[in-house]
Amino acid sequence: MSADQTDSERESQLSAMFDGELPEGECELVARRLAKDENLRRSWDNYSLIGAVMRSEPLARRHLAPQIAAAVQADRGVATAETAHATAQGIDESAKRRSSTLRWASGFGVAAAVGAVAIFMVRQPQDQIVVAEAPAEVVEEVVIPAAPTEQDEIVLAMKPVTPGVVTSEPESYVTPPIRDGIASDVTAPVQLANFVAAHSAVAAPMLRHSTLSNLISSAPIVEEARVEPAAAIEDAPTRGESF
Amino acid sequence: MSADMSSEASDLSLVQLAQRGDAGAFDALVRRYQHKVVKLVMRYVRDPAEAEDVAQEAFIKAYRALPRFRGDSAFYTWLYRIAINTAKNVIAARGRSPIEYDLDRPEGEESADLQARMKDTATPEAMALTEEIRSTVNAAIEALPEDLRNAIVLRELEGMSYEEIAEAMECPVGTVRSRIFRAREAIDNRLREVFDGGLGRGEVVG
Repeated sequence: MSADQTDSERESQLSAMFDGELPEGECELVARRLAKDENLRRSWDNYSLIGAVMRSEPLARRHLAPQIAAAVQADRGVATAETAHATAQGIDESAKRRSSTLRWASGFGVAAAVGAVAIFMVRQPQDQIVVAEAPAEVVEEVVIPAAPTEQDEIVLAMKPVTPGVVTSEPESYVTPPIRDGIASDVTAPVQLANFVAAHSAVAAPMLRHSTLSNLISSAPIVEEARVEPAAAIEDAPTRGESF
Repeated sequence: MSADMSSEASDLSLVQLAQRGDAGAFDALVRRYQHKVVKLVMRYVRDPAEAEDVAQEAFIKAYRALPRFRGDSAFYTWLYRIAINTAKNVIAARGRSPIEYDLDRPEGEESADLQARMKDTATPEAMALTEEIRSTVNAAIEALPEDLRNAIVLRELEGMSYEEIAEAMECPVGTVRSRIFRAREAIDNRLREVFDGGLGRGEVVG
């Protein structure tokens, strides 16, 4: 088959496709050729013109395709620029995340080290926690390893701890609250428990469980409202129930 | 096989390529439908230049909306709705009332009216080119062998499918396909001579 015959055959397919008479399976291939080949699109354009002239239809007085193609190209340029911007932002965000992860990881290191000391202290019998062994004024560095966020910063709470003075720290959720300044004997566990809880994200689960269990076991038992199982069952969707 | 139904497959192939970012595929869709869309918009917008602007805007809107085209309807049906809405929005934005359009008017009468409106506002160069194109196409059709001419007339003017033409002309469908292609090829060659001879379509079609 000669090159001319091949071209002719291609255009024959194109003409059939223009009329919607090309088998569906061949359409994709011809569409690909048409999309790539300006010469074929010119013929395609003229096929459209021929039909319009034969039907005495009004012809567009200017060729719309080049202007539309330019607008489409501009659109694609904007989209590409937006994609590039988004990609750059993504890289920037990724760098930020890596940076905050590093900060978080370094925080983890400090927290783990401090946590290990705290755990060691908690594991000692309470009467062995000798406050007097601490310096007159200890600066306790509390590092809270928060989940990384966009403005992620490791919070460093530089807090002076004065021995024997109850600080205004938030109430512990694992040890009973101090009421009327009477619970001086639980002051140390509250501080330690808060510290351990703050570092729970980095503590090994079993160790955390063990540590917190120790703390909780030293606290008075608080009775909690119990949910009646029957009520819970009523609220639960029945198997096979349609919504 | 209905020609309208089967053209969906060819349009869909181009649409799918365009959806994947192939600008050439969308260009082919524009070239296929630009005259139809301008004609459609002229039912709503009186000024031909404005109708072309609206048609252009409709195509650009269609391109931007292309990722949402799922092929639930034919591409032209979808494009038709976009074009109509664009035209209506332009009319509303400019506080005009749409052209009163008589749906019962015969197709030929409508085309004649639209052509007259085109001529009224066309530049002499544009009018000359329109006439050149029309006379070239008509002369090329006249010069065709009878079997080619009959085949393309039945296709373009009567809108018959290849199968229907084959039945009417008592020949195989493959022969119909070949005749229509050869007719178009002959006219296409004449048109190229016109366009390449200094009356290029880059500026004005007709």
